Amino acid sequence: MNETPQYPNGIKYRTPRPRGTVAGAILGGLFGYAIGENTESAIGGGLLGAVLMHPPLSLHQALRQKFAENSLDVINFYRLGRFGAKVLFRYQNAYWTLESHAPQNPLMTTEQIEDWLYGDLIEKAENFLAQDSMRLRP
Amino acid sequence: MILKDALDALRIAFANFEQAARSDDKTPLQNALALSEAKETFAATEDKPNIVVFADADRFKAINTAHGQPGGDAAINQIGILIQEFFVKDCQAQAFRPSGDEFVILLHSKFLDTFKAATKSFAACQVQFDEKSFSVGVSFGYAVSDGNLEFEKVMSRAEAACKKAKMEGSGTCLEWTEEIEQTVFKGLRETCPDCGTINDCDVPQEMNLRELNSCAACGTKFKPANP
Repeated sequence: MNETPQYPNGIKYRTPRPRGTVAGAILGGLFGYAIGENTESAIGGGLLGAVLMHPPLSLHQALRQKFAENSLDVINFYRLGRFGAKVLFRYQNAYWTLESHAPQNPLMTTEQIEDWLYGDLIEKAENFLAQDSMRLRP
Repeated sequence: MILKDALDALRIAFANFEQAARSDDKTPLQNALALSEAKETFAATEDKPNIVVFADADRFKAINTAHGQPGGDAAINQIGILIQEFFVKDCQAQAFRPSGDEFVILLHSKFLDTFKAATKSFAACQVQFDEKSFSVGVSFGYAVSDGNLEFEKVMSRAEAACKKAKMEGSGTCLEWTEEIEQTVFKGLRETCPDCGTINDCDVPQEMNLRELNSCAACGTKFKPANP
């Protein structure tokens, strides 16, 4: 359920935060069933819920989730102004920080900055793990 | 079937939410909300915890200054992991981080000896941070419930014992006594209404001072609070 954000021209592509939530589909499904009291209504509501609850997780939550999938425990997340972010995580009994700064392009929207920082930090985490012959799960 | 699956998923989501609401965000321990709930059953029956332990990281400000906030957070997390390992798993204790660098542990007296032996491991907890290494110490104070005291009173005794333990060096664990209560320092704070200076001062408990008299920066006399 990923979508490709259009970054302004000249900005290097970074993987955006995942979109779409299971919770939206569940709530929509329940709502649909409550109205129609049949399976078709529940499925229709589920689809509608998934669409309506489309916004991605916050940068902090999205990073926490992605890192956790790879057994990296995020301890804290720090904003470094509008264009920057730092994440502190634990890996093999040691603590590490990764920092990212998005290009300071005035055309970048807040959502694009969050997506860019997410992708960049994930890429840096991937490089970090590559040193130990590990890769982030796709 | 779809409805049943959806309800199951909602139940799991709600249980996860409830757990997250009581979990500390920087350690594997529980948070202030969980502590406020746990105190309701403190020493309520013989099988419930009847000792409050107050633990405090030593020279935490210096760690923050030297390694920045991430370094401080790493130290907090490392202490939390060790508390989980030594006290929650080995002593069946409940452990919380209500705020900052302070930890509260609720312990049953049958585990007191095991607990005291383990506190020695906290004299210098090693933290590997961004390819550097530093250590952080923890001091402990504890107070045993006599069955009549309110939880808050037992906790303030444990905190007083911890303050005294800090003076004796990291990894020290002291039980609260009347003597400790008299010698330990109490923090007083007053904001000057004229110049806005925040006056902080630690005074011995035995002086029985309840408030500061004047501003250290401009000399303004503070109005005494109601006796």
